[in-house]
Amino acid sequence: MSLLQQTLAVLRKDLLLDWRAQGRTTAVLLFGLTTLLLFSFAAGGRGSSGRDLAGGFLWLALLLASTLALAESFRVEVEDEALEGLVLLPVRPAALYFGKALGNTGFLLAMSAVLAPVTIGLFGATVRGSYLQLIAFLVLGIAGLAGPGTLHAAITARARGRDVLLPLLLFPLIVPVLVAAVSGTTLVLQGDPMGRATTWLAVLAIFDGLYWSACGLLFGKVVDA
Amino acid sequence: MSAAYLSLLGVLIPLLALAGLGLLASKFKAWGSRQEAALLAIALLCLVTGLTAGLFATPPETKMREVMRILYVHVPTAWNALVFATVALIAAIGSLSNKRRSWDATNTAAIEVGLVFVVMLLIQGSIWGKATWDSFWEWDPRLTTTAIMGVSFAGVLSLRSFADGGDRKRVWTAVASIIAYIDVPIVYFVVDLAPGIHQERSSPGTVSDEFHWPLRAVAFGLLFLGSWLVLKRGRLELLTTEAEAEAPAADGPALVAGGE
Amino acid sequence: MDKTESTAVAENNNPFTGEITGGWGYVGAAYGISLSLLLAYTLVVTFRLRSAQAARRTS
Repeated sequence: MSLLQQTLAVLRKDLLLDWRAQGRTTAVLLFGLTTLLLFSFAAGGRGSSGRDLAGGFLWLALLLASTLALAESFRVEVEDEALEGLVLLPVRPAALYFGKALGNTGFLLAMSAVLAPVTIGLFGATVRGSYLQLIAFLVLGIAGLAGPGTLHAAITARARGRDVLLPLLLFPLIVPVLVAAVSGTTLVLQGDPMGRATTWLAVLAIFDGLYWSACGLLFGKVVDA
Repeated sequence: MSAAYLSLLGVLIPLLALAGLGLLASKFKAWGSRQEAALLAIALLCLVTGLTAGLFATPPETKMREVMRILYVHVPTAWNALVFATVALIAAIGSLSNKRRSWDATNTAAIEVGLVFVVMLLIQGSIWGKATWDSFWEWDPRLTTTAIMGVSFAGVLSLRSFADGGDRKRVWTAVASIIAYIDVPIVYFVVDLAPGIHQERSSPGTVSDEFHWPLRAVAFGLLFLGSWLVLKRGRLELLTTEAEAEAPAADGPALVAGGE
Repeated sequence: MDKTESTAVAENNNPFTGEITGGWGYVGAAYGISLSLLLAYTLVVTFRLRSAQAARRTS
């Protein structure tokens, strides 16, 4: 089987598992929604400051939700030592990584399909720019979270103190994604007179390319340990 | 000494130092205590001469007067933090490709020494910032990157402490170190682009000649001191991991045969 | 000591325009804290190494 076929097989397995056990989906979604509500209580809802900060709140909610989602995605592998079983199959570690990472990206994108409209509604923002760009930012930004996140989730899933380790390791890494995604999303929401959003998309694309390749290469070492 | 000669030295010596550090990565077991003591002595000599000159022999700077003297610790600390981060990267790659424990020990030691330097850097910078900008922190690319770098290094060490088993420790430390290293220039680049975030650029690139040699002296002093620390810390790490590997055998039944 | 002409270190966007008083205080703090940190770390590593080496010899 080629790398692509193996990746898709892993992805299909994960999607099936998700479909059958919908607890994770609901829990993470509720968590994201609650976080947004908390932001609006704590930092001010409607009004111009709310509109300016809407992009930031959305991405923070997605980031926090992603730590839950990422940790869960490997918990199922650690139970009954399923991960070791996967490694014994003739599946290339890179395919394992890409399949998992794609699954996590898809999951978070589904979350964002609910969270983004809620954010816009909660904070009284409007999408003045292009919807296509907004979707592009969501896709590339979430990929930037899920990419390194999947690698670190694999590492920390088998560590003691895993709940605190994953955010600790992940958050410094995704600062570029956060900056680029928030800047870009805010530009799209407020209209983008100088067309700067595409620069941020490029930044996200480069980051995603770098990290998905690096993590794909390193994943094999991690699951063997 | 002519400027050209000094520039040549300025390139040669760092290259030699880096080559020497490269040897350290796998060979430090062979180093005797005399070489290490010599390294420490040279380090201290450089530091004392550089800092004394910086504090007392060089003129105060035009605008910032005495406060500028923080430069003599601050810039060398920054350079060395990056040097040791790079040493950690090289050791991490070595650790993944060749399972010899000395690579892993160097990796850990360099990350820890790098962290110490980053903490020093942030404190010095914060004090300098309070003096000149009247605030302890600003959202500047360099400051943000440095803070992120510090947290990343602390994260690597945290991960290591939670890992069970020698092989996991080795692999996880190495992978986390590599990822952290890739991250630092990216963070710098991205934060630099961020529009609307308050930026304060301060580059010590334009420094007049009187300041150069104390700066270099302290830089080498910190380099040698840091290398000595990596050596010692690396050796400590080797001993610790070996002791952990042997631990199950150490807790055995009583040695005295008919004793119970 | 006379003030020689030296290039300012922090030029662009530096809001600082006035005279700094208490300069040596800042310098002392920066040097003091840095060197203390280094010293503390060195001592910790040296002592831990010594005891680890001693433990190894007796085991």
